[in-house]
Amino acid sequence: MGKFIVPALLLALVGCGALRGVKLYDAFVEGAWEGLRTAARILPYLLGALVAVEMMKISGAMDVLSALLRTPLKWLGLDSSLSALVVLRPFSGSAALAALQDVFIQTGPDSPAARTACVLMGSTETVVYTISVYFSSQGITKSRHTLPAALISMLAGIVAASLLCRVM
Amino acid sequence: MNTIWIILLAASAVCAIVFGKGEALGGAALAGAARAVETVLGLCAAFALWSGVLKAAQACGVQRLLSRPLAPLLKKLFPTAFADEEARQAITANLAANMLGLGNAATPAGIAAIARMKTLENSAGTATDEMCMFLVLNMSSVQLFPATVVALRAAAGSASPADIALPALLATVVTTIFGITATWVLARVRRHG
Repeated sequence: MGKFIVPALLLALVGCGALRGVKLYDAFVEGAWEGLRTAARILPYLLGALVAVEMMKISGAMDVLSALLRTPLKWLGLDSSLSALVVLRPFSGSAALAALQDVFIQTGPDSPAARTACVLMGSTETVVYTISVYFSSQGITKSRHTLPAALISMLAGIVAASLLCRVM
Repeated sequence: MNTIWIILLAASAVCAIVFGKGEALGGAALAGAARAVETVLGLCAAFALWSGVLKAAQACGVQRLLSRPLAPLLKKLFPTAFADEEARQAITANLAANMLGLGNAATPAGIAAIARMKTLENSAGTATDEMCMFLVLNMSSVQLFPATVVALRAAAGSASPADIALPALLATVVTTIFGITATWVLARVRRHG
């Protein structure tokens, strides 16, 4: 599927632009400027989040957190090798991918634990990171019920991943 | 976010003292900062490219095509934002990019959507119900094919790397349903509670 998405979208874009006589290049450059400004605007927020993540990792706080989560995860039917993935997932996509690779190395890429980890990775998001980038960069400091609702949705994802991987 | 950050830093400091990792803490902080700069440098290219493509697509009106199947649901979820052309385009672009697994294309459009919603609803620093709903939908949204995960699994030597695609799709449907419901319920509970 990934093979066709980009060429198909590109063809649709170019074809449509040519037919309607749109100045595609001008629009593209204007959009590219906006993209660069966005990247610059999120840097401080991302920096704050990643500094905290690295400090959590080196200080051992992350290990404490994943050890605490081991028992509740067992109730949800998850293998204990997934606890690092569950802890890191809300904070950083790349750290979670690294944890996923650890699960592959520990249990093999086709083990039940690894398959559950993949489904979990594919169906959950970097909740804390997303809130800080989307909201903080726009000056929204009170996120209200966004975080609890996102965590409930993530919990549902964990249960679903664990159940679905048993039957599929 | 402020509270979470303080808790994370405090937990790090306490654990560093308990486990005797105090002198490594400063280095880790700098490593995190360096990772953020590297990530953003990488993102600059992706953001500029995808924002450019989205802008070009907007100029063509391609998005009206993409938004049509999603429109009935989105109109219910975002009554205010959906009445506005600019907010509607940004929301649709963000969700469409998310569904296709183009995370780097989704972010600039999503930030533009929040910026526009802020103007529309005239909110100073507090997220409105529609903003909360948008963010939760964005985070729990259906992803048609988890390309990165499948690629990683193939690289690790899996016999059939793509066999998690179907359970992953079903699981994202579950997270989307739970996300929307939880946001809707919490919005009401908090208003009346």
